[in-house]
Amino acid sequence: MTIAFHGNSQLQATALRQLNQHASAGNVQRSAFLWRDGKGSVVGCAIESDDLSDWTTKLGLPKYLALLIDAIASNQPSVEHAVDAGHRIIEAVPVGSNVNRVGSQFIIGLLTHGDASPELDALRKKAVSLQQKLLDGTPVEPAQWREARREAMATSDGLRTKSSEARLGQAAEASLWNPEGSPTAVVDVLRPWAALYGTRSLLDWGWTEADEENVHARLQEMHDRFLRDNPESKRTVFQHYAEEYPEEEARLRERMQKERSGVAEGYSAARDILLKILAE
Amino acid sequence: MSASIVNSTEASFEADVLRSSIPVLVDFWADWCGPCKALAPVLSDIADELKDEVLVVKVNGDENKSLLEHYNVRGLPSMLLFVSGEEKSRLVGLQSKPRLMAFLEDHVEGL
Repeated sequence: MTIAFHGNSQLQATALRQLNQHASAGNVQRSAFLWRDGKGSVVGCAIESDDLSDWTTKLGLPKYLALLIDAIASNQPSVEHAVDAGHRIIEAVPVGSNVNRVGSQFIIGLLTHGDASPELDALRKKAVSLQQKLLDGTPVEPAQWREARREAMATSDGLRTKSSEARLGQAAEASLWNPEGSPTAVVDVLRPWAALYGTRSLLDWGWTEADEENVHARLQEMHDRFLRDNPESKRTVFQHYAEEYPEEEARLRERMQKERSGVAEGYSAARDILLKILAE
Repeated sequence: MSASIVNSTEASFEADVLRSSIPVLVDFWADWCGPCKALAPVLSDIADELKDEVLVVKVNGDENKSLLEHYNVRGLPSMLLFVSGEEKSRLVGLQSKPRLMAFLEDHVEGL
């Protein structure tokens, strides 16, 4: 069991101060966990270390929380937003609390957010029940996790790639680990869950599967016409696409922007779920 | 980075990977590659969990271009699985831990 900030509020204050100082100096990058040459991700700057173990030894916090903070922060629309998100989460961790339960609580919070088809609903209920067992103090054997993951992946594999359902399926299959022993599980759940916001944002905007197929076909056409027999060319398929089909290319750029905004919205929603859990 | 992960280069690749007594998962990455950074914790997690069964090796593609060419690596991150010095299979792009574990379980006996 880890005790947040080893019960010492000075440690929390130091982490926040270091983060703020690096933010003021322009050293914070929107990145997965990183600390190099005096610059780094939100967590890297908060602990000034490239060793994730320091997060636990110095601050008494579980590794998955560090990875989660950086995932949320790095998907904010600007560095300022990233620092703000990281700062708010670190500040929200109650000093002296046992935050080991937060991983399972957060996974349950994500999986129970929104609707799902009956097939996926069964999958996520299974995942939620195993995480709930951990919260209740009942051990889940590795073989149980493994079997549940195999079942979940088989279900996900039957879903259309990049569809909303597939994103939910990926989130459910990624959740079938104990976050304490498998620090990347929480972010693995969050990634497709947030991507779901991007997928829905595209659907709302009117981007269809046919549009997606058309773009792939056009890019292949650009490659075949201009680049396949011209290996010395420094130009990209996108540059040729912009010249040959300017309206389509402009719409593709808008599509990318819409998706990015949707995904960022997903990460912000996740930040709010996490802050709510930490406040309980 | 996990202490179980080995950083390899063109000079040490043969000893680190091709002559390894256990299967080796080689991650080709680059500094500028966002998905490579996102994958790093997953690889650390796996390296720690499977440290007696699978060796995880990282190769910086920018600094070891001849390895990229030799193994026809076209996208980053790329993970090549070597068993007894020969490439068995590969995965390209950011992977979740369950997918990467399933990939290893499919190709490494006894996992």
